[in-house]
Amino acid sequence: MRWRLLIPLLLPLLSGCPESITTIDDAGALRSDFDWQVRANIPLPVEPIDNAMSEAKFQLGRHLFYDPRLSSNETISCSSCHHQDKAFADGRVAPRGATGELHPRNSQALVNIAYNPTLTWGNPSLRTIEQQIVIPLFGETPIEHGISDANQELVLNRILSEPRYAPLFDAAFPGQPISYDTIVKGLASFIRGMTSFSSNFDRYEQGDGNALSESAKNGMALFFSEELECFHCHGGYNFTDSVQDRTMFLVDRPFHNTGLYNIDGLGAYPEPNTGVHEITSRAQDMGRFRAPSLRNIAVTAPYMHDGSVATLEDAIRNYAAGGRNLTAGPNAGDGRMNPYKDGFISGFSITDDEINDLIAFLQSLTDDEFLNSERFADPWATP
Amino acid sequence: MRTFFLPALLLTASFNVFAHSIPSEIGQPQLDVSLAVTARTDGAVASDEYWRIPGVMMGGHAWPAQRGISMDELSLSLGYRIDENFFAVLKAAQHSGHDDGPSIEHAWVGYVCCDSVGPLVIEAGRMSAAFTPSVSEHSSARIFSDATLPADAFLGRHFHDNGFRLWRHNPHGISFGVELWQGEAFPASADDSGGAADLFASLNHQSGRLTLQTGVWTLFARATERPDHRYSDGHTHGGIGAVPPPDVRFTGDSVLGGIHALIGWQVRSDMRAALRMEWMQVEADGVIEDITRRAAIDSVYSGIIVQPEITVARHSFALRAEQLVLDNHVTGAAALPLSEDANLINDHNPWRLGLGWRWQWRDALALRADLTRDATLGSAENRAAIGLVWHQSLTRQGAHQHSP
Repeated sequence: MRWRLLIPLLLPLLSGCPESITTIDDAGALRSDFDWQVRANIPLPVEPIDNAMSEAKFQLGRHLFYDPRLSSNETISCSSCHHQDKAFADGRVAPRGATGELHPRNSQALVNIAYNPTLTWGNPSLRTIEQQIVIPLFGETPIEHGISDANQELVLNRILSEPRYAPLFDAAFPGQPISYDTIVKGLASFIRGMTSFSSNFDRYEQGDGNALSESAKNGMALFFSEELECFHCHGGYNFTDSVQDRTMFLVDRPFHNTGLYNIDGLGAYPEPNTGVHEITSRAQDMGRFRAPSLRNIAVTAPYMHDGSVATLEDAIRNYAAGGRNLTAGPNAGDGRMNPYKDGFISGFSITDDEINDLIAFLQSLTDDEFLNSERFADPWATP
Repeated sequence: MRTFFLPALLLTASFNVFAHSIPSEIGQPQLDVSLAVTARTDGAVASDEYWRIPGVMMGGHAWPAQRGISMDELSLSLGYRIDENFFAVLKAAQHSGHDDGPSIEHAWVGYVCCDSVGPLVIEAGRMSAAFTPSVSEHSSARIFSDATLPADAFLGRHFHDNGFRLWRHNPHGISFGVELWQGEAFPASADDSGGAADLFASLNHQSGRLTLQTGVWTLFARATERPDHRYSDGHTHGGIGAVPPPDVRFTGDSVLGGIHALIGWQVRSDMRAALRMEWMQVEADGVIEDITRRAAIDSVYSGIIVQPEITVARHSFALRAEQLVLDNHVTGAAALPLSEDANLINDHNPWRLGLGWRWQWRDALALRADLTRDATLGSAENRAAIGLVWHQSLTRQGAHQHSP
């Protein structure tokens, strides 16, 4: 303080200076009628013009999400394959639909989906949650909820007959009839509102130096190192390079081949799971899938688009090897030599202790509040 | 007489020697060497941190002062008078703070008409800018080991670029000129749409015991996607710290202007008092952006240095006060996250206060020490420095040193 007094005493020229200031005009980017429950330095997600977020829509969607009446035979709901305690993944290699048909892909966690510029594992054209929800409800390959032309009126009548829905729909979509359009918008609002930014890592980033163990700190240094390159595809506030929010003017929609398969020596992935290639039929899109967010990754095993990697340790060892070499079975092949493999999957040296550190860091991304919050829990459990 | 002029000579020759000179003796090469080594009790930031003054996007060669011993400057300069009209200057130098190794800072050819040092001078090549002494002076030429704060924040400390200079040179009166630059030097960028240009005028005047060197200048710089070159070159994400600063870039125009003055008074034969001052202002208008986000930015910065100093025999003492005022207005949906990433969120005036001593032990050797109270990053920190300076002409004097 005494030093500072010298300035006005000796050099009055400086003391007359005005104070510095940085003013921000975000053009309304932080305004929303919905409480997104994200901390201040996380940008808000984009809200669709035709389905702006509201708490009423969120609560309606929450009821629909947990309601098995929204399937052909009342056997499954969205929550059948998306369990809250597993960050809304389901812990299985692949889920089964209402008719017992096995889905070819692993159930994705529903964490910060509002920030995804594309939905599902490998479809660059699927860009809104509203578009995506139609697929499990009405899709036939595979059948999930099993709603079809033949039973859609029956299913809708089930919803109409539930007395708790009328006030929920009325609050969410006043003056609009209950329809599949409002059902989809309600579901989308609930899923869009599932935000998770309260992990130990977040606490550490906000200044709590004790929020991470020493092992997790070591793992964090490895994660962000040039040797491991993890952060290139799993960087940013949502730990994925596939992200969009309302501050962006350019949205990238990247997909990556991680060298998981190479069944013909020419880079092929097993059908029907060929990634973006399924949509474009271009050879260079073979095996390209969206990098999922790593938030809550420790509770979403098994991993990869087909659930073929059982543990985080296995996933890390695959990346360390520069891909996966399957020496037996129908999908045998050396993924390390896949010609379409992403350049960042180049392999690295890592010790067992370092693997444990890296896993400790990934575990620090688990948001227990999110996994246990009543806000995302089954509303039908309470009358 | 010798005792009267020696301090004045040391002041002008040692503390005001900056990078421009015109070799004057035909066929006589002029070889100068400068070395400045400094030991500091602390750095401007920790060794694993990045020096980014909140409120301003820095760049260029504004490396932070480092804890421990550092070689602030090593330079070798060659000047050669080719004939009556033409001369050439080469200079290689290395500065502390980065691992790029020595670089060619000067490689230019000049044409003089119609006297040996003017009045008309045309120069082209890689040069230091002449519009203000702050951007061309080197560590060995100062009382203080640190460069000035406004030069670091607004001009990237040094301004070396490929360019062209046309000026009227009058060592005992008014000089003025124009410089055009390719744009390699901060705050410009060297792409097709980048570049810089400046106008300057200066007055050198001596009347009895009074000497006056003063000047005004303005610089226009255009940048396209200008990164902070200090921390963004190459594919380095680890860098000196665990998490490197976000790569937020500036595109737009910067208009800078400044006034500098050195007023000296020969108190007695072995004592000279002087006051150095410089004020500069920056107006930058453009956008800041990263890979996916963009926001408009309108900035007005100013910086001031006031440095009273006194030289008694071979000892010089100075007090240096520096302060920045940094105003930014950022607009757009990404204004907040980009401002945070670019380290623009700021509500205080960065300032620094220094107390320096330089002892010109031998004509070519000096010891210097300074105490600095540094509040450029918010909280004020103290550090001390002591160093050795060697600045010598290895050949016969054959150049005219001048201040544009």
